[in-house]
Amino acid sequence: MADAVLSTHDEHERPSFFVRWFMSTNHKDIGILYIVTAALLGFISVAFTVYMRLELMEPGVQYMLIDGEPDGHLWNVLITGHGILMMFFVVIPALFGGFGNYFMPLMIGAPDMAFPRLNNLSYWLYVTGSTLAICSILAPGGNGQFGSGVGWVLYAPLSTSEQGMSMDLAIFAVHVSGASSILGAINMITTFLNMRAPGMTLHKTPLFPWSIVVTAFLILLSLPVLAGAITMLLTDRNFGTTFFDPAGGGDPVLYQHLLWFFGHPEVYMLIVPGFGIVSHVISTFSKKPIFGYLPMIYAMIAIGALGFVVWAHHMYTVGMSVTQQAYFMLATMVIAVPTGIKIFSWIATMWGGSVEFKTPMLFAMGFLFLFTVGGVTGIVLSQAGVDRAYHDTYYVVAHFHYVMSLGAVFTIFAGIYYWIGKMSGRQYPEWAGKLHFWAMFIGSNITFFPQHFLGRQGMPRRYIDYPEQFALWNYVSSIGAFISFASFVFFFGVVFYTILWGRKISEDAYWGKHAETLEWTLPNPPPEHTFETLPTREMWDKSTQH
Amino acid sequence: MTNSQSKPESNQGLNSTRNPLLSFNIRPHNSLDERAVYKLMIFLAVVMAFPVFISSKLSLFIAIAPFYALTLILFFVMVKSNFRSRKYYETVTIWPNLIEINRYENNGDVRSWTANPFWTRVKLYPTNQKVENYLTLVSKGKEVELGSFLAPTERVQLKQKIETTISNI
Repeated sequence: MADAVLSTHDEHERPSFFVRWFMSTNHKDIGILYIVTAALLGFISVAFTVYMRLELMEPGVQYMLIDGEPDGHLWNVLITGHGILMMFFVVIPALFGGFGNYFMPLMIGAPDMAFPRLNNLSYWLYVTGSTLAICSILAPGGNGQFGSGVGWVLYAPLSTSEQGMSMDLAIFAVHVSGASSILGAINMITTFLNMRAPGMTLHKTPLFPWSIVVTAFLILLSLPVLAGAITMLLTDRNFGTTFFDPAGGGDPVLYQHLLWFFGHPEVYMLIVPGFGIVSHVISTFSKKPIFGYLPMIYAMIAIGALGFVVWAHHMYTVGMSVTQQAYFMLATMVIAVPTGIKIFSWIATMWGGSVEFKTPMLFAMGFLFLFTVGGVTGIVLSQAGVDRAYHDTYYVVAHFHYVMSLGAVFTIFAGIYYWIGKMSGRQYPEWAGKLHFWAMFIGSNITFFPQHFLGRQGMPRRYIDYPEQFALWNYVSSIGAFISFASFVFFFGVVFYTILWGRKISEDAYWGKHAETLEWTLPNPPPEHTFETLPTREMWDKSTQH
Repeated sequence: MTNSQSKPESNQGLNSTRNPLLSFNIRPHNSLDERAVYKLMIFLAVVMAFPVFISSKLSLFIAIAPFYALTLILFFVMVKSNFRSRKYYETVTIWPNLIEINRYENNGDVRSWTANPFWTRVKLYPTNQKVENYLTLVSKGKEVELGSFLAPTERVQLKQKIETTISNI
């Protein structure tokens, strides 16, 4: 106890630029760092796909040539780079690391994360991992060329036989990213469990913090398996073990089991934080409390739990017994139940509400449509018999891009437009946000919807070229990709404009009184230190006021 | 006021042998019951055991178990450390001729402040720009903050409680 000194409320010196952004332990700054880094990596990753769609625009190989011959290795490297960056370094860091760090503590009334220094370490491990991933693309790899072209799943034996250090760098990148995620998950769980405001019981905690903690548990339970699997890859590659080599008694299918035991929950790690964001956006712009708050929470938990028992639907064709396939088929279909609960609850929230179609709401509704389309094709693919025909075709590419590329990414945009005023103190021009939405929505549908047709025609994925009969829909898909990319570049322009010249907003809850979680009680942007004095119940429990 | 590394033995000549008029502890808010941590650990261990033991392959066990064990240990250590770092608390004890306030830090340090209740004022700064309802005790020109980790409304209640006790002496 200090004599006439505010021991816990003392003045904090404003940190210098370097200290603030390179040594930060402040959850809000680290959240912004995550979002900015993920955006940069997302741009690189999307640029790869634009180049790929340019190549696929017409039959034959026009651009990816080496000595006049098709450069299939470059194609494979770009696919691998796109997958690894998107799965490990863009979507999860933006949603979980970015929005999770910034808004989860604010929404529960915590002054910061439970372990601020660990938070800093998580971020820099993420930067290290992404640097290793980029280095992997540029380092000597297979075919005597740069980079490794084994796909983001790093399947053995391709990954154990790929030459050069590129593959090892990719494995290290995933390892370091995993360590970062596990540390981040422990931090999030501890903060969520122990630092909620007085009176904020688990059944009164907002949905976004819930989505973050469900994601954190998914990370905690699945990433160690991936860490084990890729360590086995490393030792197979470098120390002569034969975990995945049949010649030494190993089993390459074992790797697939391990990878997908992590990989399917990974899909939910991408989308569950988005569920949280969308819930708040829809509630705010429907001017109604969320419909079915408790079912929404338990649906997220159920989706997370079921995500651990369906992994082999990604590998129906490896030679499982019919009984095993039947189990994985049924278990997969069950996921439609909690997912349906969420979709119908969002619709019910809008039902009878005074819906306002601001940009965040447009992205949330876009997400609803796209995620539902992706979910429905997921049900189609869950059937083992049907999957025989669609496996490794563009139908699968269309399915998972609808769920993740469109679904999850639309929630990121919804979150940015929803909170950019809170984070920066300046508001984006509404017309620009709407233009971005419509260009993105139309462009991405033109890109991926025709890929269902290509898959049904039998076009396999992961090839640099295709026969003439697939030309039409590939052409359409590429046009869509260019529109989407243009809208993505425009989005960066909108963000820069907003931060530099956007309209200043003075009202704390600038979306109106239905934006009622605790971050809306703070100024725009919030001060460096928030909730050093615990928030009172009246500040966050508005249930009696509706 | 005395600052010491251990609990002070002296009460500066004031008599505190009788039963106190008021005695209570103030602890920072923790939203999780510490016992729930153990339940959570058991839950995580059971769930983690599922993929480890479901396969009969020893190689798989060797590859995955260490990572799960590491994660589990790390999680336990971190959650316990969070509880430990939030274990500071303050005690307020009021006798007819003595007020004693001790702040027990999480590292074991104890800082104490004593005063005569007749010469002690309870001050609440409702308009303090930094902190709402900033609560202090003032005696002999020295001022000490109380309940910095409490919610503003709780500090108002605390003020009333102490003032009522002092005024009845």
